[in-house]
Amino acid sequence: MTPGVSGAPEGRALPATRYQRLFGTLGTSMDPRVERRVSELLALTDFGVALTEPLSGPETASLIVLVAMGETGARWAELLLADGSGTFTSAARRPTSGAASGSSDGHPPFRLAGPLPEATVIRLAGGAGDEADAKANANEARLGAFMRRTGAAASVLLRSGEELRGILLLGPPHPGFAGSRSDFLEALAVYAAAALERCRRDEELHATNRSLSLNVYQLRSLMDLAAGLHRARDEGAVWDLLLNGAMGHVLATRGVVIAEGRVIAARGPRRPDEDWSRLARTAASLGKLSRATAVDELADADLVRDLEGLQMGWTVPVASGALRATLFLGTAGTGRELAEAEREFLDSLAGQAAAAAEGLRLTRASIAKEQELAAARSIQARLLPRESPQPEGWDIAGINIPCLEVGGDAFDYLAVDDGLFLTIADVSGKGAGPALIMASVQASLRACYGYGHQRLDEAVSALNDFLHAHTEDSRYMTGILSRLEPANGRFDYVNAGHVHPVLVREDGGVERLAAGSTVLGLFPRISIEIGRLRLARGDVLAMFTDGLTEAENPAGDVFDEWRIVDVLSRSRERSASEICGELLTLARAFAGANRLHDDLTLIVVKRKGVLPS
Amino acid sequence: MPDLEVATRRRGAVVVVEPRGFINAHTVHRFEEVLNRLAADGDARIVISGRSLSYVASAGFGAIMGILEEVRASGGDIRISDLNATVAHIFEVLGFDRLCQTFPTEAEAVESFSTAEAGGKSGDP
Repeated sequence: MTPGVSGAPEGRALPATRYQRLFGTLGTSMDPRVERRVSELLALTDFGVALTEPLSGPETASLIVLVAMGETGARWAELLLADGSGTFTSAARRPTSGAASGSSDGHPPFRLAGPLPEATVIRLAGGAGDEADAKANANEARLGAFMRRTGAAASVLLRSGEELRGILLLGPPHPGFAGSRSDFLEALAVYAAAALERCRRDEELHATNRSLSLNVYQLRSLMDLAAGLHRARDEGAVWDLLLNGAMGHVLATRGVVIAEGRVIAARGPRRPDEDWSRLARTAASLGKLSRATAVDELADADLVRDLEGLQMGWTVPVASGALRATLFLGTAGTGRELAEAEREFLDSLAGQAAAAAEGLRLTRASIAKEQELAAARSIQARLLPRESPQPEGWDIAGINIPCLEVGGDAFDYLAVDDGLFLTIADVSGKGAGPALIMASVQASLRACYGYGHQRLDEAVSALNDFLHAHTEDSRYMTGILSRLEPANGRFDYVNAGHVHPVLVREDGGVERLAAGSTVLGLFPRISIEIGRLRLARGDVLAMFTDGLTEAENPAGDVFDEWRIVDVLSRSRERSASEICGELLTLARAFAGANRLHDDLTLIVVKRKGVLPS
Repeated sequence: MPDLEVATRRRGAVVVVEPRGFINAHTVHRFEEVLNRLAADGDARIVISGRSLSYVASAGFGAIMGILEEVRASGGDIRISDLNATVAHIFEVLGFDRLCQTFPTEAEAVESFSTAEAGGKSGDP
């Protein structure tokens, strides 16, 4: 009479088996009523032992149904379990025939709302007796109606505290069976409810463990992907990892990355081109999403329809700095909704991929810029004089040290007839722009001097017009434009807003060359004064840009003019080139850890002791 | 010794892919290359044997997902066998076991293709 144990794996009911054997030997000699009670007790003991085993939810449900049927002789039994919202659906039924749909005999799930019936065992009192339960609450009446519909003779409420975990329905007994006793069913209800409660807790624990495992796995994957993205050498590798990581994590079979209106990476089945164009258009009209968003959460119904048509379930912004892209993912393959942690995973992965791709773009741009600058530098270096003219009785040298690859400083010499034009100039700003302007200035001046404009004021005026007309408003140039007649030492110059050249006379007198004009290129018309002087034997003149006088040491002091005067006075016996070298060395030593932060250009003109005959 | 080697062998109409080592962001391209080549060659019946697979990170699943639809569309499938406990747990946690059938042994996974065929069934289980 205890077939209930058949639901438990072999050997699990060992303690009860002893009593069953004993019962088997005594059975025939017992009073049938005692025999019945002993059988019930054995079934409960047996059931209790089986429940100490780690049974799954379905195994537990089957066991409850089998024990109940075995002891009550019911034609059928069915266990309905609560889903948490007051709905009860079939979890197990014996016999199983007709129960494949999960709700036996085709009955729909049963619903209860409000206070529960007080009784544990509820029976239909043969036909019209249900009116006797007029005092029963509404739920009891509903249960009664449900029992009539399903043909159940009794129902057992399986409670855990105040919660109703399940309802055990029992069909009418087979002929010859007395039917179930309420006290047995009540005891069974206690065991069964405890078993269901344990299953519920196990499931909760399992869900918690699963969620923890998922989080740990997610973190490991994220670290793994971050390391991979960090190592990626090109953008293609970045997008590959983004797609693999994202699709692998949400188990999506499609993934596409769109940037700048086109598909830059895709995974999944091949798609016709018009699908790609549609996706690109959709990405453009998505607007600014701040995080991973399910397509059905988007506000725009047209977009939702478009994306669902393309079987895309998720859109993830991929942005860093100037880089703006969108990752589209197919719906999760398992059909499950993505948890918050998984959205965070997608956002975090997309952020890392965007940063990696942007880093690669910046590196590429910077390499390209370096190459451009190197090319500009080589052009600029070719524009500077390779060697200085050395008219008899004179020693002239010049140097140019750009602080970047290219700079806005330059110097130039041009011998025309009996004069030698010397120019030193500084275009405001640093880099390729000023370097280009300087190249034009050099070319214009050479043309100017070479074709008749040998008057310095005319050349300066022409240069001012040129710069004013052809450079942006804030761009200007300072410089010294000068003409030396080596034969007689006559030296004319225009100081166009430039740092004053220093002339140290043979007798130690110091002069500063201040005559000239304002800076060139800022104003349409400027007044120009030509400074005129004569360089005598033993005089040393230095023209330089502010890269020299503004060299700054770590204490914040600048390389004052007196240091230049000192070098010119001390070193007048040395060659012009050596004087240049010494000034540069001193300036570098002075700046120390600060290094020179501006272009530095310098021309030294020294008149030797003997005049040409 | 590389972190991942991917061996393939034919068993009748089925290709068995055996990744040996770790599939992660660093190695996934090797695994993906093999899968993509199979898909491109029209090898639609694929068993991935986990016998020598120590770990799969998300990127590895991405490589499988990337060809799954295509393989199923051409009447094939990707089935999994011989997972060790760690990898089987990952499959379960991620829900991948609901997407691709898993089998205890490579032989059973390979065999499953012919029984599916005999029953007139193919593709998505």
